[in-house]
Amino acid sequence: MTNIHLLQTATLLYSLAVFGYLLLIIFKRRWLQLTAQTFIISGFLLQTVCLLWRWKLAGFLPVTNLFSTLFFFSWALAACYLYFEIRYRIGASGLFVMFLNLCLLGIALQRDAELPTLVPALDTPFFSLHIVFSFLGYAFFAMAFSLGVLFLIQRYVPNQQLPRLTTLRKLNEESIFLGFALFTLCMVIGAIWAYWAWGYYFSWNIKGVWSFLVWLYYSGMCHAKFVRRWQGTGYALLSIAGFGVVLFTYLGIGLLLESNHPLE
Amino acid sequence: MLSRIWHHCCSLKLAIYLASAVTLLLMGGSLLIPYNSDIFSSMDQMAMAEWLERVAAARLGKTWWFYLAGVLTVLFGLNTICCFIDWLRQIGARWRKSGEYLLHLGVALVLIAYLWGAVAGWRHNGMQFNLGETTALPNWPGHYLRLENFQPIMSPNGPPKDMISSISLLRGDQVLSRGKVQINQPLMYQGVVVTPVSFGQQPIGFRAILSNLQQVELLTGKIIQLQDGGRLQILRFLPDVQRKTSGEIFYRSNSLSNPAFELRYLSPRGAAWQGWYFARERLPAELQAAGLQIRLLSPLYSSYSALTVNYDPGAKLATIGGLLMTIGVLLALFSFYRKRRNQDRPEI
Repeated sequence: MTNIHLLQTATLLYSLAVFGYLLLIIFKRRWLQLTAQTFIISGFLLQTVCLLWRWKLAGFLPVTNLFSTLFFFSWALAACYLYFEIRYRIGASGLFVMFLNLCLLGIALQRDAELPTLVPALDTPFFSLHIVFSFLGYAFFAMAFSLGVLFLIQRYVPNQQLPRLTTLRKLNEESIFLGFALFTLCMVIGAIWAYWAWGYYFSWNIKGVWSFLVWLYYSGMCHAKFVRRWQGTGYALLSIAGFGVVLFTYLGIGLLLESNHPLE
Repeated sequence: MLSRIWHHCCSLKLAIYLASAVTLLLMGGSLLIPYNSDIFSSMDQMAMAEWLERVAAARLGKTWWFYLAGVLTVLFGLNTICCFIDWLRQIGARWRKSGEYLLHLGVALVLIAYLWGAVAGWRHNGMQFNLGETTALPNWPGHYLRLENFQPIMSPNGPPKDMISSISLLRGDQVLSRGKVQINQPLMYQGVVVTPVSFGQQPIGFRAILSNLQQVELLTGKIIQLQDGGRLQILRFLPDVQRKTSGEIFYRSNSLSNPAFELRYLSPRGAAWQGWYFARERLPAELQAAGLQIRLLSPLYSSYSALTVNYDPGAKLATIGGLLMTIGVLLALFSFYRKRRNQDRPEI
């Protein structure tokens, strides 16, 4: 068995969990929720083992190409989902996140999973920390996107299976706050590393600019929750738009434009 | 009246408007960056004030958004400082927001530090330092950098794993700092940071045989004692020169396309000749008449290390700002969970 077999099994378990949550919306059985949760926890454990295995094989946290970043993003998303599930029992509310997770794994599994060689400048703990906080931040922003969509559904097409609007709003705000906190740490560590590696702490490369924009956008959102007019629907819409900015920063720039964070 | 102005300066809405305006401007403007590398690729190679003056000002049609974003960011920074001061004035009642406001202070310090570095800093990007030579730093009069040793570490499959340069930073003859520079390990001295970029070899002369089968190295500054009692001095070696019709010689590149030596010959009788010897042409007639023959054997190379030498007086302040941001975020996280646990304002 290779580490990719583990990942494929984890993908299968996540798929079964998504299917279980879909059935839960229709049949509303407690055992369906428990089964789906078990599938997700098992999938996450397998994915964690796979990540540690690849880390040991490479000798560094392997997050330097498109396959490995999609893989790590997916792992972070599953971790983020489990955080909300264990803490708040969000159940089928995590459907969007797990569906997004499946999309990431679906794209990743079609790509070359070979471990890349490490560029010398990336051979530092700063890089690992920068990446870990970055993708954990992205995962919480993805969760906020999911909760934003659910908020709008619950608002305009009320559904008994979804949490109440106030709960969704609270969870959305928590997700944005946690994502912002983690992304701030990512930016601070990235700046220190850049200063040590290149002699300046902020690069005017498009990736640097858009990472700053992601941070600025979500810092604005952390403030916007105090403005009555932006609470609820406005906040949900901002969460959805914000994830667009995140996706462009991560995939759009890495794949479509020339930057100092290329994805291959 | 003053109270109203102050209230406006600290306003949350102002912060959101300014942040939104900066975000939208940078979103639109930054998309020009990859398609206009002639303008924007030098942004990281110069201090910001220098880039604005030398590059951006000449292409305002494509850089105006940057000036506007800069002004709005400064206003955003002032708003952040006002918010922090306002919090300090009411700290007794709002101490539980310490994390959030430390983050505000950190952001403000980083912005001030960047502005300071942009105005008072300078950058030498990928400057070439030859092994054993002392090179002046153009933006720092009276200061020099000497490359004492250079060692590339190559990986088994080819590309370099590291570039270790042993350097000294000097003020005149006085050594200010000495150390090794390698990937992710810069040399730092009072706001000056030296980081490695690349390395290479450059031609510095030729190994040659003279008329009497005497083997010599023709290197800049070398004086060769000839067997007839004469002396040949190599004043300069240039690997690639261009000769104008007026006779003037211009350095063209570091590749060995058209190498030339500037020589001075002193005959045993004391007569002197000085002129250029182009390696692809015959030896100058004056030297031939003196019985001298030079047969070039192979080029001689010297290693160089390309280093970035940047000075940012705001770097320390930025570090303090970053530290405050980190502490602020951790405190805010702690306070968030504490509030949740205690059901204190659970809606926030």
